[in-house]
Parts: sequence; C-alpha cells; structure tokens
Amino acid sequence: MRLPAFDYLAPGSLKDALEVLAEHGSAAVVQAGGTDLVPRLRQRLVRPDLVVSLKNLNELRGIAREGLTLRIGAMTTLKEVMDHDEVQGQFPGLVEAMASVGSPHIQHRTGAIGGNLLLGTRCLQYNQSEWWRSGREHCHKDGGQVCHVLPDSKECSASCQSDGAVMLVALGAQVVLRNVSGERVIKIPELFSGLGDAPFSLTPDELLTEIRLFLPPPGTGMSYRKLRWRSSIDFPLVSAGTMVTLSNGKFDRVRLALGAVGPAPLLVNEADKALRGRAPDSEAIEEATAQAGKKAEGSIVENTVAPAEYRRKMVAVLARRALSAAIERAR
Amino acid sequence: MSNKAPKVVIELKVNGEEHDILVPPHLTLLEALREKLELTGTKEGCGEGVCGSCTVLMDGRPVRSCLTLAVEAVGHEITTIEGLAGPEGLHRLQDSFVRHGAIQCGFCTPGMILTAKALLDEIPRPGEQEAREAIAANICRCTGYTKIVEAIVAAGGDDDA
Repeated sequence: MRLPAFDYLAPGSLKDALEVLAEHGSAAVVQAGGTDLVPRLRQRLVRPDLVVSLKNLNELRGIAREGLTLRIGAMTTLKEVMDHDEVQGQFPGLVEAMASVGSPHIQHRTGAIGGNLLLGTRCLQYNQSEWWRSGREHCHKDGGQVCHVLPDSKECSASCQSDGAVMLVALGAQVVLRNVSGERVIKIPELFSGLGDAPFSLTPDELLTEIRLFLPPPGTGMSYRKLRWRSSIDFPLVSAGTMVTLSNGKFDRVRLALGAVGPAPLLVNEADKALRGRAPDSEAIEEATAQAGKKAEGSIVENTVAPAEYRRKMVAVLARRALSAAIERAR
Repeated sequence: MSNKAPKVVIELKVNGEEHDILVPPHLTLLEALREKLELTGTKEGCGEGVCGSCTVLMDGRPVRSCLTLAVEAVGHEITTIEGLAGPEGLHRLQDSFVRHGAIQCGFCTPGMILTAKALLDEIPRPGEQEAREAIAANICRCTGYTKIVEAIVAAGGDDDA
C-alpha cells in the first residue's frame, strides 16, 4: 500500500518551521522521525495536505545541562538520550524507557524523544488498515460516532502507549511548546487532554521543542518496566515508571506513573500518600501497588492484543517491579 | 493540493554511488530503492516497521526503509544487500549464512544480514546473546533463528566463518 500523496517541506530553521505551521495549521502534520507517522499515513488514519519534516532543525537536537536542569531537544534521538553520560548517571529510568521503544533500528536515527512523547494514542480497533476499518461504522477517533471497544461510550478510549511519556511523567518533567508568538512551558501531564481521539493540548501551530528534566536529589532511584509479548517493537500492554527518594531509610517522595491504561499516562498520587514516611518493606510496596491496580482498573479497556482482565491484574505486578528496582537504586 | 504534490529531484547515495532520481514526496526509501534504482534485494514485508525485512543501513546503522521517506534519506549513505559483496566475493556474513544454512525462503535474509553487519561493526566478535538481541526486531518465519544466530556468531569469529 502506497502512502497518500502530500506536499513536503523541511524548513531550515525553527523560525521557518513555526511560520509554516502558523500558515497551514491543521492541514499540516509534523514529522520528527516518522516511525509513528508513516504507518498512520499508510493506514489512512491521517491524510495531511502537507508533511513538515523537522530533520534540518539542528537547534532541536542535543542535551545541555543548565544549573539543575537538563534540557533535551525534541529531535534528539532515543539512542542519543540513552548514550548520554548525564542521562545514564542521573536518569537510568529514562534510559530504560528509551531502550524499550521499538528496536535499535528505530532508536538510533529515526526515533526522536519528542516524537515518542507525542506518539498517537492507540487502539486495536483503530490502528488498522483502511480496508479493515471499512467493514463497519467509523469509530470516534476515525471521524465517526461509535466506539467498538465500549459500545455505549460517547468518548474515545484509545490508550497512550508511549514509553517515554510515562517515564517523563514519573520524572516530573516539563516541555517547552513554541509558536510564532512565543513559548509556554508546561508540566507533561498538562500536555495530555485526557481524550483518546485528541490526546494532546498542543495547538496545530505549536511545536514541542524541548523537554526539561530536573536533577533528582541524592537518595533517588528510578526505573521503567514494560509488559509486552515480543522483546522488541511491541507497544506496552501495561507499563510503570517510577522515581522514589529515600531519606534516612524511609520514603520521602514517590512518583509512580502507569502507561497503556488510558488516553494519558496515569500518575498514581495514592502511592506517594501510602508510602511517604514508611520504610521500603514489602508490606508498604504491596499496599502502594494495590492502589495502583485499583486506580487503573476502570480505565483499562479491551483495546490491545492482551485481554483487559489480564492487564488489570498485571498493573500491580509492573508497579511492584518498577518500585523494587527503583528502591534498589535509591539505596 | 495533495493529489498534485510536485515531484522533487533528490540525490541518493546508495552503495557508494550517487543517483539523481525524481520522486514524489510520499515515496518511501524502500519504494525508491526497488522501483527507481531496481535494487530489489530489499524486501517489503509488513510495511509498517514490525518485521525488519526492509532493513537497510543508513550511515552504517540499520533503519526500516519502509518507515523512511526517500526525501528524508538525502545526505545519508545508504547500504543495501547489493552493496555488501566485494570484488573478492561474498561478504563474510553472507558466506557464513550460506555455510550455516541460515537461509530458507530468503525473504528476511537481506534485513538479517544488514542488521548483523551493523552489529559486527560495533561488536566485532558478538556472543550469542548479543546476536539474539541485535536481530530481535527482525522476523524469520522459516529457520527458528538458531542457524541465523550461529551464522552471525561464526562470522564474528576470526577462523573459518
């Protein structure tokens, strides 16, 4: 199957790119590495008049430390993030998340961290060929009025299956969004609208240009764990990213985020409440992971190759694996 | 506008040779290689980045040519399976695949060999685990992988691969 025809521009500067987006708005789509966009083009899930490639925007590549902030350009490849000394030293959980995306074929050149963060929400009933989808009524995300997963639902329940997004939420990261008139800096949870069919709060003229991480305090450990059938390529069936800080042998702060459990990464504030001030023993961890399982239960729907019932049970398992690894590193 | 997107002339450097070709922007690198340059060693399997049979090397690293627009490959050195053998004959990986019976239907083989080439360039003598991890994103429906892994490990050794 051929890709649909489109015009193509590869602006040479960020300023030019923003002007193109300001002019074309929602008729244009942005291509970072293309590993998510090209299959969606092929399946006719998106039919843009114009593809705007960011490949020439070297100003969006690279990682720089500024005080206690690590600034990662949105076009930095997953491999560059994984190989960076400071990321390896301070953010091993982010290295794990990036290493779990696709495969080395995708990580080293085409896959960019900004593109991974803005991965389209996915659903087994939606991410299919045009011919496959033509057999029945179009769903909400496909421009129709029904949901084939939850027949009574008036909303789309496609899931955020980005590995990077989950870990970046656990890390409390921020993103910079730019348009011709300026920039805004928001926390990553605010980037997500919570809607399956329009998952991002980004406007059509905005470009995600940078991710900002804050160096964790001493005694911090983090990790990312992902459930999938195949050891490469597969999107997560459930995933968990966490960052814990221990102080005097007790939890000082816990951030636990879950992936593939709804249209946005799910931050489990209950884990922080349950654990803060307690020793990191198995009883405390069991309590927190049970809360994670309970919180995700309702939003996990039948939209991946694995049964929803199994994924509901695996949330606590993945949360436990992530927390245990993070605690080990925090010590 | 979208149905009449103008074609563009691009310069692709493939297997050391430069080619000027006329392509529409929506042509993938895979399609350009097969249809414009008649390098049909590169295979289309799933067409969505899952199977790895379209793997080519871009600046020495494996990429999915079905996920890469031809216009995005400008300025990079592309290596396809046709570019691997030298004047003295098969590349040692190709030779090793033949000797180990690591080929059955052969459809995955170009992608497997190019992925393995990138591995050997990075780790000259990979172990079994490294070989398995390197080809984790390449699917073979015939061999069961054992002979492919043996062929890659043997090609990394210095004695008779």
